[in-house]
Amino acid sequence: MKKREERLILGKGQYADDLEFFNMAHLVFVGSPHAHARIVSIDIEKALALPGVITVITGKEVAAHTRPLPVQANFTSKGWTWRLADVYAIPADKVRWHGEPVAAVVAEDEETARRAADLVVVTYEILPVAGDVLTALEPGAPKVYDDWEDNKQVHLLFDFGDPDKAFDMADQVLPVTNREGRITGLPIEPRGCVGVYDTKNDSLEMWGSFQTPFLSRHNISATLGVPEAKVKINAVDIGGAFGLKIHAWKENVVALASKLTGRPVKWMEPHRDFVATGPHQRDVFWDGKIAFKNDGTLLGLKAKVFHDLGVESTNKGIAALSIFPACSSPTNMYKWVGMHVEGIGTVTNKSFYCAYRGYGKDKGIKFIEAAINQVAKKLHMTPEAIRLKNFIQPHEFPYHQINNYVLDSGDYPAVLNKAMEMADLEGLRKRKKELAAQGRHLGIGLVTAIEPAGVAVPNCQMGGITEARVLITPDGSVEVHSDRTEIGQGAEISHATIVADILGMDPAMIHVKRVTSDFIGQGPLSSRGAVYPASAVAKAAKLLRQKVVHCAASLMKIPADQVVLEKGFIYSADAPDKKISYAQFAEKVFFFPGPRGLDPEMLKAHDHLLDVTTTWYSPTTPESGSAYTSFCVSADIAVVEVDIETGVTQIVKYVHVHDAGTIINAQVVDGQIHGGIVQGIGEALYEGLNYDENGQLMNTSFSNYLIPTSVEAPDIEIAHLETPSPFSETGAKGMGEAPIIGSKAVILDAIEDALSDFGIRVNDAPATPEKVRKWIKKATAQNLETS
Amino acid sequence: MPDNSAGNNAMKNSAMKNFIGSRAMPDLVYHSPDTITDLMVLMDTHGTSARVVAGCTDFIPSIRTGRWCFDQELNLIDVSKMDELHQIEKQGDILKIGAGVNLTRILESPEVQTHCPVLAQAVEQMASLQVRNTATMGGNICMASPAADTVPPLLVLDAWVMIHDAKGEHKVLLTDFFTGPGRSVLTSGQVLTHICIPVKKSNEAAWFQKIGTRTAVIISVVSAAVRVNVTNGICDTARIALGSVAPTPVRVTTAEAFLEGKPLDDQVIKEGARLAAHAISPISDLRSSKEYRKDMAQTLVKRSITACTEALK
Repeated sequence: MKKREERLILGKGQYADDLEFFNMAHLVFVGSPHAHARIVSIDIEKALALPGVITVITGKEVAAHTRPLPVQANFTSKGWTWRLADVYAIPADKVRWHGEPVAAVVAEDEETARRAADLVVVTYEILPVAGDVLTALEPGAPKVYDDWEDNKQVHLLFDFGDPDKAFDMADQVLPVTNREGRITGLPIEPRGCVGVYDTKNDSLEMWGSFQTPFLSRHNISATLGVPEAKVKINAVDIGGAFGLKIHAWKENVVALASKLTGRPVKWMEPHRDFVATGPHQRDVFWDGKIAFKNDGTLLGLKAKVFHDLGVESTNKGIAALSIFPACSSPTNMYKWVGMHVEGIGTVTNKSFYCAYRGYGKDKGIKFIEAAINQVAKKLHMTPEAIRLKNFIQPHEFPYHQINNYVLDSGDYPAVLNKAMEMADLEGLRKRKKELAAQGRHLGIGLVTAIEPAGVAVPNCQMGGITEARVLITPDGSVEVHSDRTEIGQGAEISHATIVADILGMDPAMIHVKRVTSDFIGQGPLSSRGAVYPASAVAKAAKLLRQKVVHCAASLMKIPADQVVLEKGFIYSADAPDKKISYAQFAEKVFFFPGPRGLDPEMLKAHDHLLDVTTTWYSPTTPESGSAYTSFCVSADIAVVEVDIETGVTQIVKYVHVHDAGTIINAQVVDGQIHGGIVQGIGEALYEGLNYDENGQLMNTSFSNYLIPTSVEAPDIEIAHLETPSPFSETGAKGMGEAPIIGSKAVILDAIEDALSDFGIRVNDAPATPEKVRKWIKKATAQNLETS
Repeated sequence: MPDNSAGNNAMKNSAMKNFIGSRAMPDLVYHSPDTITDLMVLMDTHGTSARVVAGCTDFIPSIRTGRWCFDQELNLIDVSKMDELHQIEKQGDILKIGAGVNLTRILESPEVQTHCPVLAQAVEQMASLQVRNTATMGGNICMASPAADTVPPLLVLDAWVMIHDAKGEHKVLLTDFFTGPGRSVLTSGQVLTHICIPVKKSNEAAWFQKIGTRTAVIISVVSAAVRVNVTNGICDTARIALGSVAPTPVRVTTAEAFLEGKPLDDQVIKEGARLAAHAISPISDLRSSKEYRKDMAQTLVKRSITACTEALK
């Protein structure tokens, strides 16, 4: 197949906004300027009177024609709190966050729809806002959902191993807190789609920026009340997703608009809408204590983690679900005696919470890495020494962690040692001392992490089901179908490489098809790509290879164990000169299967179709309950210099060593690493969604929601180790989220190290220049007081 | 150069309107005059329904975000194709820059680099390459943003602007140009045509520094420009200007007066910087608190004066 990047660079991409259909109308959402208000009335007459306006859909139509958004995860057992709210894509009675859609205007063109959007007159009765995660839980706080007892959506309790024993064994216990600000991910392309409702057949087809077409179909058909078999969702070129395009809700309104108007309807989301009414993430506060021995042996953790979830997620329960991995992941890559972790999720009048690179498994790791570095300081150990002492060792895999994760493989000490060697850690420490003598503040951060990857959560929509199909066409080219959308992570080239290797072909002959809802699976989320879809594709290709060998042996009258598939040709090992191409082979199998070609017994057994559809499921999840199948490993060492007069942090060196098992495509892995690290730097230094006391989101544009540019991106030095996973079909491990975990943690750790003279604990991201400066001034004043 | 006052009459109160991610453009009638004379005729004809634009890097976002709304048809007068506004020319001791010159040209101009390098230094830290390729000097000044990065350097260089209207051309000192955030002395029918800057003298050094929450493509939290002329080790002229600390970019004359007549040693520099920070009363906003702005103003002024003295060594 043609290289994807070549097509895109030449401007031949077909993104949602490039879609054009005959007689297509355009939809624009009208959002609430208030964070919390009762909708008293909506006057659409002026908007309808504007020439070119076709219809205006409000919450009333949505309630009349659709069902509430479906429940995607609901865990009611074990005495936990788990509440769900009835949510429609457009509410009829009450708005609950700034920007929430109250109407959708459909017009002949987008500019007219935008103009009419300004003419929709909504009268609100403003309500007090539940804006702060802690005060929202106080008695008498404004309630986001009237029928709930209070604003607590989730309270989960986990006991891993024996936490009390861990604390009994401890020589010391250290309290640790950590705060991560509210952020979002920003793919270059917001969401967008075209819905085409066929009123003659009562069927729906949609094209757009869908990360998970199969789940989108399930949820859109459920809200619209159309059988899934009559709905098809097609992913087109996607300008980034990062988990943020898993859910479908505004898309449901687009489908409804097409149904009500009988026209193809297009919606392309502006970036401001994406920020204000899109999924948010992080916004957590950890309050815990870590138990350890004086020799540096880690023993246990007792912690609470508070989440500000915003309003009920548009994919209901998925925000709450992210608290599971947040609570489980502090075990990271170390041996523990026990942990007790509580996860609390509160609803507030803010945009909803959903998946963004990391989802929750990042949170526990960032917290525990910060905690371990505090323990090291307390014990006057280096950060590497405490890790090397507590790592799970290479001979201990597969390792059953106390939280039921089955860690597949790895050489944790080797990864850290390699990073230390590349960074020249001792040299850096010497340099830090030299610069300190000149009044300069160099900081060295060190963090190690595993990434639980490839998710399958039983009892919810993230159950893990995955299908793949690989087939050879009559001209010998190959089609590959799976649920793994190409969201910029290299899905197409990875699949092509896997299939080409197995079938003995040039990757140019492999055509990875656009993902549609026809293929079952939850798509590339939670770093599943290299685990589930890649394994399913590899398994299908291996089964197809058996068919090829079987048919070729029959056609060429050679023993099956002598058949060689290589470089697009098929031949017998003992007669390499007598070879046939895949094209010749396929033509014979498809069109001349009779007695002079294939063995008649094969035909009778219906065994000659060069087309395999199969599924793949984790070998460890069913018995262990481990939601993840593979665990890649990374070590990050970052060096920063902090200008203490301004608080500005400059990254001067960045080293990342990674072991994601067998590498299918090195460029893909490096791309994930570069992108993830830079996103993590953004979270560490710049990014923060700021709501004011009235629940107004203050920063909805790129000029005030700051993400790193190429200028802020450091040179990233990368090295790979390859310890194959015994549990995936190719030996590869999922790794898409790993780089964002370590990078955020390591930058904050490096800043803390740079400020070690002041004794500052850097536990509140983002560490903006103003915040750093404030810490320095406060510490300086305190130090003066005490001296 | 958007004549910022022209459209004000047509602008509505934007408080608590519907949240719309990207608002519609108003009905536009596009005009592209070739000469000042043609421009004056257009402005006279269309009065307050006209708006002058060049690079449109502020105009389009202002419309799309709803910051600017127009009830009626808008006559958009694009001055970017007027040759008269594109010169960069040294006339005696003055460098004359057309208001339509884009920021990339400023940055790359040998005349600017030689005769007022501090302006190029500021432009280099502004916006992105794509924006610099289209945004203009005149536009940056006429938008009258307190955070306009070209303005502090121009203030310390004692620059003035030429304003054209039906009566002809007149000169306004840049220190007298700004009247508030987004506001200037320009009235309906007036257009800024040129910026005039006294060229650098041999005993002179100037420096610009800004601080933002990020390094690149960032609106200043505080920006500072300093110019000093030093004769026989004594500062005979000092200029200090700050951006983003007041409703307009401002000069801090108390600190300037303190520096003049003194040798610029560490103590004097430190006190000058302290006085500069003392003289301002910035506000807190999304980008920064007032405390941090005062703190940074002091640091940036100190560093900028120091950089000037280093340059003169």
